[in-house]
Amino acid sequence: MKFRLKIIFIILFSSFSVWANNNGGLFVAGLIGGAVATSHEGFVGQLPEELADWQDPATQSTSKLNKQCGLLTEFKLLRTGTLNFVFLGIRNESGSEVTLNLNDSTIAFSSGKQRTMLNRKEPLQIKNNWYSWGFLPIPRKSDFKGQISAKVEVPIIIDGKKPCALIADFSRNQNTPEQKSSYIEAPVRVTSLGLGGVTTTSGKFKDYAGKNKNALEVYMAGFSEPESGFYLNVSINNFGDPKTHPDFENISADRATYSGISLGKTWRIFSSQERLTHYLNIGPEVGSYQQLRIESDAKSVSAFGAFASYTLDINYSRQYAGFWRGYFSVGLTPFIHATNKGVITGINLDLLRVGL
Amino acid sequence: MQRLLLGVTIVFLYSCTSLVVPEVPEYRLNQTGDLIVSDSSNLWRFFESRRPRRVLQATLIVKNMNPKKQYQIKLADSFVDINGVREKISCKDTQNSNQIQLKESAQAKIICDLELHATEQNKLGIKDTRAVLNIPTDQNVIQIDRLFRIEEFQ
Repeated sequence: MKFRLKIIFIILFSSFSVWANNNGGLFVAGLIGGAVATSHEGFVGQLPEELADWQDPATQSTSKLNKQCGLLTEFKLLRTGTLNFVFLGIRNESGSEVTLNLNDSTIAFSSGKQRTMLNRKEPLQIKNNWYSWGFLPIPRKSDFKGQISAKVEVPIIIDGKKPCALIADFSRNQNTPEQKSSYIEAPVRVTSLGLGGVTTTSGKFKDYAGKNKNALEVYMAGFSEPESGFYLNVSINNFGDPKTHPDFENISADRATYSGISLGKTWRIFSSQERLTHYLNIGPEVGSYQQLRIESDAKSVSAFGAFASYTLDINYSRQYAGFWRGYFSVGLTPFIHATNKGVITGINLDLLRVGL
Repeated sequence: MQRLLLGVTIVFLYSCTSLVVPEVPEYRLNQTGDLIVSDSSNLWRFFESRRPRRVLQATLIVKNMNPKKQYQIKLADSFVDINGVREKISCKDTQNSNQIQLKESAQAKIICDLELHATEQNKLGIKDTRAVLNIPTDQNVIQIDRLFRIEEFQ
């Protein structure tokens, strides 16, 4: 069991490091007109969706094309589950080298609130006839709630001496409802590892089960919408000192487990400014109750039914790495396995919950 | 059963990993006369593919920078030129119209359905390839030009 746990941890953390590393770089630049042989390694990222309620109805896009300060520019408002950001594309036609002071770029909302973009990069130099594109992360996605306009400003210096500013004005389409996906900071993928105990058993599980019952759970969920998605739950419930039973030829066993796998629908609600998250998971389950004997084959009976759990998730940390933003949290999860062999209920402490 | 569950977990976690290893979008911003064009970020991947048949819905944003002049974009006459071989393509605006009257300082979105086949004539993906997307207007032609060296296909 320890070895298996170790494997799961290794896979979990290797997945996250891939994500974080790949999103470290924000901007690339290359020569216009040449075959693209630029360092794309610096810019690896799924091009995220645009903010649906901030799109111009005529173009169905947030894109703002312009020529300013001698540059062709395109600004867009994009989103991931946890972060909104400005996409900025540039072609330098100024005749001189320009320097973008990305650290000083700002977004000002209609409410008067102004934020400096998240950026840890040095000023970006773009030579004449070069192009560049990248993302400017906006510190809080929730800043967009209730806003009707936003002005983005990126200060630049032309030829090392002449200051100028790239500006884009965005407006929310007030003919459509405000989209929660535009302002709720909601991880798209949630993974957690829970440890806990079985509190009650009934039916055949009660006949089979001994004392010292504990549970291990790996939970993964993906959310296409901020408040609904799908989960996969894999659980192993360990029963010590199993009882003899005719289903197992009345032979005493050394150890017994019920393992279940469930795939179903999940709903979540955010509260306390996204500090607390409530998850409700319901779906079908298949499983197997197994008795293990030393120097003998294991014997098992299969089970099927339904799984349900509720999780109260407390976010304690948000991590920044480039424009990557993840949540670390702890959770408390009461669960129930209701199968044709009986019912198992219990509660898990989710020691590690990660939202991306 | 536990081995099966462990296997499923590992496969699921690896599938999540592959989801977060992202695509590499390519991006160009061009100006043809008064028109600024931002082209589709997935155009590069489309041409880069080695598949004999490729299908893509490419999205372009066009802005008329002239505050005193309108342009008519003739989407019905759009075509792509691959190594000198012309192939017709289907382009529409967001209203499903094949003609855009682009007003002064206005912006429009063009959606082009591309379906290309590698042939003996166009040699798409077989040798160094120059692909040019052409969208005529009443004044000029919006061109989006790509050059692919064969080693970049490999």
